[in-house]
Amino acid sequence: MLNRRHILLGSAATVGALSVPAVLRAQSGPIRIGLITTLSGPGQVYGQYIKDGAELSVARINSEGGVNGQQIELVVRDDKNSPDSALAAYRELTGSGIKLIAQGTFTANVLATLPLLKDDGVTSLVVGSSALSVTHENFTPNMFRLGYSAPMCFGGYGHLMAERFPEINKWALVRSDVQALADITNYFASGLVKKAEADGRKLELQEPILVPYNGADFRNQISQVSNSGADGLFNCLQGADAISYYKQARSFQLDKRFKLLCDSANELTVAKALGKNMLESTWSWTAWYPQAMKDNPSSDALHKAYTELRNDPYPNWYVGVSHDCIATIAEGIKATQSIEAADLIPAIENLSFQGATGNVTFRKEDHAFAGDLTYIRFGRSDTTETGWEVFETVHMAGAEFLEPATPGQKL
Amino acid sequence: MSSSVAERHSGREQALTLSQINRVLFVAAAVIIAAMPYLTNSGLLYLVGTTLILAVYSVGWNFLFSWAGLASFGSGGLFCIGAYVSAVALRAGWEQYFLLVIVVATLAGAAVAFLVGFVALRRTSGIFLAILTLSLAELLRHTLMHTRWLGSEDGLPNITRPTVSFIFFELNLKSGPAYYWFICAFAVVMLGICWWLSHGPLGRRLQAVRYDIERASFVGIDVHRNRLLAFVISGAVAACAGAVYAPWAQIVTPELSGMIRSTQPILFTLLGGLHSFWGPVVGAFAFMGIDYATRTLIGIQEIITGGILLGVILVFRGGIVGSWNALLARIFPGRGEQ
Repeated sequence: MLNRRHILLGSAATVGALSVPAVLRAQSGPIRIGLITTLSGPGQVYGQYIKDGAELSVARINSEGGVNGQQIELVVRDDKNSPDSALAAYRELTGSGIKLIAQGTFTANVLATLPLLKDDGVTSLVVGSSALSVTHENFTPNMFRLGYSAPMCFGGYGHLMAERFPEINKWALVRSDVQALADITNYFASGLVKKAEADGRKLELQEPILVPYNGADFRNQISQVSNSGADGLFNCLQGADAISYYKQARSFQLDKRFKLLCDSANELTVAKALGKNMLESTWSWTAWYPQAMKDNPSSDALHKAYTELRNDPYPNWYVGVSHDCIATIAEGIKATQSIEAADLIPAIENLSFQGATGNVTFRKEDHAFAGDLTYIRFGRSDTTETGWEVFETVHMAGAEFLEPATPGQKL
Repeated sequence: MSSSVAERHSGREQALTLSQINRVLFVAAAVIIAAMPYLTNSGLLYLVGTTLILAVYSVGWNFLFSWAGLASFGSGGLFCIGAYVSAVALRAGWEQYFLLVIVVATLAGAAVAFLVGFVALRRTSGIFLAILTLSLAELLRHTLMHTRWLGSEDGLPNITRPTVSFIFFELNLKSGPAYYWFICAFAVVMLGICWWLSHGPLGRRLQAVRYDIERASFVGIDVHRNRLLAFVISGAVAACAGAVYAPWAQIVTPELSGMIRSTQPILFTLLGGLHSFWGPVVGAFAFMGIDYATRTLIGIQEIITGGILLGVILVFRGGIVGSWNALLARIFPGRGEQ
């Protein structure tokens, strides 16, 4: 049983602990920006790109003298692709006085911190997340999304394909069995149909063929899609699934059976993985393809720095987007000379500058990114060392395809 | 001189026994945990609050494992059920009935555990039960991922922390420290109930079953009924912890039913000490400490954490609690129970 002596001794131990200083620190010295991203587990590959882009952005700004003479310090935390860890990291960063956060890319981790931003007076730039809920039902004015909503990005993609290939009237769709990819597929299909109908054509869209998420064997589904009789094919698989899918598709000669192949958003990851076994030709959306960014010194500088850092001339688009997130915060501070959310939010709402990914600007109503869209066509090449090359690039104004703004409400 | 010898004698007579030393440490730890909102920032406070909830959840799992001898690898599913019940109710505006919501979530977890246990425990045990429970938790996770009204893969965010209504007053739990102290109170109540169950007649019956199932049956213990009861209690504790967790994290996702959540209590128990009531609690806080201390070592954090866990589990077979007690007995010989 506990007696008075135990309680006194316990209290004495507590007094010892109380003498440990609290870790609260005020924002002083350099401007501190917290970066929360996935640096371990299955999403680590994307998080590493985000970290690289953010660090290169900070290095560039600091080498140019900082923001209004103040250097930037990036404090990086791993969200382990779990909302729990994202919250712990966010609370640790804000508890130590940080008022500026960049966070990405998985939506659930972003959604975990959104409700806290306003009360904490934090300004947050979301890196890459495409989920509609971020700028609609879960909108908070303290967040800006430098990411591409599915209607804008894939509605625009469908529009482009219907416009450039009016002879393709029968489409097959393949997607992993998860909701986010279902949304992407639906918006692509919707973009196709809208443009075709506007041009007086009627398209035949087959029911999507579902493949297992995180699966290993897609041959049944590839066989099914090969026999679909369609001319155009939209593949919506992510990461490792996409690599296995395209690898297995080689023996079915998928690229010869279809007149037009579209990959959702794996861009050059597929080409880099398949090398000389790359498909003949496919389209993909990308947020940043530096070789196509003519007269963009920001993109050129980032591309050069990334190539030196990783010895890889074909960076993933997350590098460009996370670079621009930090640049957005820096531009906002430069304009207001303040890191307070009350000053920064209106400044960022009115910003428009050339980032690595092109024109960076946000829609005032819901803080959705309203910048440029980029699509590339690439495929097998016998003349390059890599075994593949990019054949053409198309830029489009993203704002034309943005869904209606309904901040605080579901679309 | 003679007076100092007398004082030394007197001091020896009053020397603390090993269990009293542990009680002093327990009180110190409890006071520190209660005072955390004054000692640290919101980041560490969130981690400690989460660890308290996970400690209760792990004690419930250990009740099933160390007392009844049954290993469930799907306890995350029951935690997830409690969390989703709580999330849906709070988002629907039932925050003033939060205590009732916790009860309903607990009953939901108990009911699911009863249905699973009623069928599974008759036919399976050991590795088969572990795989079956793991499969059911995965099934739940995939179902949630495809259920749009429950937020699909992104889950349910924006869960408000409640203001609980009583007849004469209201308890506002909206702030971080207020909800943290609610978690402390929840942990005290749940650990008290688990202690009472573990050390009462049910706990002794379950241990008899675990030691020798045939003999226990021979002396008149209804093996299936007692195991089922342990399964239901463990499920209820997991769901109850999940219900308290939802407003603390303010988001629930299908990952709560995933492998990581299901294996956490196993890890905490192995680290803290098997067959010890406090083992999972100590293991949970030790794990949190290691995780927090290595949080900036990006890229090698998992290697360090895994290495430490492996070392502790292989070298200290009794876990932290067992090894600590052995160390105390070695440092203070003859200070066992008097």
